[in-house]
Amino acid sequence: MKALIIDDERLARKELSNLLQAHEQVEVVGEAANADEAEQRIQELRPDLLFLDINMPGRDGFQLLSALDHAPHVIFVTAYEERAVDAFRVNALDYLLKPIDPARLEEAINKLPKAAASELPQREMLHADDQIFLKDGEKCWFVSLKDVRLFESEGNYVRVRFSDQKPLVLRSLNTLEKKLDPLVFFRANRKQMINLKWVTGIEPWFSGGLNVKLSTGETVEVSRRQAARFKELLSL
Amino acid sequence: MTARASHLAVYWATQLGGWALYVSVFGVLSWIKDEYGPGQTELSLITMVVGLVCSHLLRAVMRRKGWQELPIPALIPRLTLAATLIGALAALLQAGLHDVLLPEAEAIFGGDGSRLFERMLGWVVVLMMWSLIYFAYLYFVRSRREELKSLRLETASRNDQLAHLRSQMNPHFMFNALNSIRALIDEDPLRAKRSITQLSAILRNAMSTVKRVTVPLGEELDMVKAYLDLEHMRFEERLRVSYDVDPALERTPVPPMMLQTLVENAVRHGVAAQPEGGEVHIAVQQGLHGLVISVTNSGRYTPGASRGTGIGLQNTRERLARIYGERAELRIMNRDGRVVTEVEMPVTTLAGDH
Repeated sequence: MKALIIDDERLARKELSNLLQAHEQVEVVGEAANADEAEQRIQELRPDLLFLDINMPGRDGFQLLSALDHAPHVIFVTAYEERAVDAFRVNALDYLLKPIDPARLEEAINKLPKAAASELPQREMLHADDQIFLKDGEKCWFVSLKDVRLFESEGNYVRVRFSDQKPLVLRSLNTLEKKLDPLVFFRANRKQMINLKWVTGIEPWFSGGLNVKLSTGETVEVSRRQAARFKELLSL
Repeated sequence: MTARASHLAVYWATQLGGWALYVSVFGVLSWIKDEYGPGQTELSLITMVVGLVCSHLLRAVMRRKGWQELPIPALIPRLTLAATLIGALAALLQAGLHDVLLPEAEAIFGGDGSRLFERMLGWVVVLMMWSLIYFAYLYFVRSRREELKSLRLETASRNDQLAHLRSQMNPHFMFNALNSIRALIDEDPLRAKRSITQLSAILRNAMSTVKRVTVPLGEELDMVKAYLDLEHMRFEERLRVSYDVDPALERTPVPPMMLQTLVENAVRHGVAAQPEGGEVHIAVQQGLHGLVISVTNSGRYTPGASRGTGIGLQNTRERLARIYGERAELRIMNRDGRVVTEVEMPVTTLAGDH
């Protein structure tokens, strides 16, 4: 598994890198001292795992993750940040406290899914199994795309609906549409994009459109323009 | 229900219950002695009403005069006088009602007045007993309330101490420093040893200064240097420090941890928050009105942009005001593309300070 260490302190990066030598399954492929550097390295090196310091000059760890389309596995590393630690607990994200306890590091590494393929194909498209990082105010989530049933445009923001959550994130529905797998996510109308795996019922609607029912009971209107494409997709 | 309303409810319940119990005991006693004759029930009711009215009157007098606050030696003569007067009133009331409502019975007014006097004495004793119970209850409630209050105060002051200690420790700095030292143990063992000594000095200082009002400037500067040396281990070339301190001022008393707080702020905003790092300049000079301590860092100050610093500066201001009153001042300003935090304070040796 290819890992990238992101921390503004050289000694902190070195310390973690030393500790990781005991773990063969984790290969440290690079280091970054701030979010800008990290973003570049992530593009170049395509790591499967980030060790991410939260407090960094410029953009912090959360802001870095929000900027990534596709979030790799992340283990947060922080010295002391009660608020952030609370945020992790809610979402069961893993974090390490500095100075890092080697036993806790091992635990965190063992918790990572074994199947994390180190030979991920080079691709721009996001698949249903990929996870994304979302941050709305103080709260943050790692969510698998297959759990997202609906994206809704609200001005410059997009509301993401999954389980009982609905964070609002600064992205545009059009850019999202270009990155998401078109066989899974379908642009039902100008404002909404649905996950086809969540569709349970379809009925004809006014003026040639369709009314689609999701397994949660929510309904989404498919515009007349999109209805033909929709039928085509589902008849496959 | 409010506390006041619930007290009132307790009062009336006890009043009604107490007087009903009082007259029933007498009723039962005379019934046992087979003296329960005609008019006994009416007499009991009259007694109960008179008891209620007069004891309530007594309470009203005590409350209006504020007797709850009196010490016991001052209370006893006043209470005796009031009980005697109201007791006499009670006897007259009882006798009047009795004689009017029960014309067949032997009149209390009449004869040589000994029957009336007997009633009076009885009422005075009953009212004194009533007051005893009333005050016992009052003291009980009050002592419980005092106890609760002192417990709360104690908890609050403990919390303050804890918050103060925690802020002095600066956990973010401490744990980062410990993490860096862990890495240094392999890379530069000598430096690691020095860092542990410095960290110990800072911890010891943070714990001991809680009690002191001022410390010599030299001592405070040593702490600041130890702190900056540790931060230098973390930030390396990103942190650049310079000093301009008049050596003649090293014995001047200053509030402990004040310069330290200013320097921590400067590092947080001028260095840690900037990817390329920054400079921190510490200057202490003799000014026109006393000591001028200034800490300069790279960056720009925007009021209200950072809550943490706002509180830190506010606390420092309050401490200065407590020690020096109006004679000390803390200013923060942008000057030549840098942020300057400046404290101007009088040079004094404070009584009772070592």
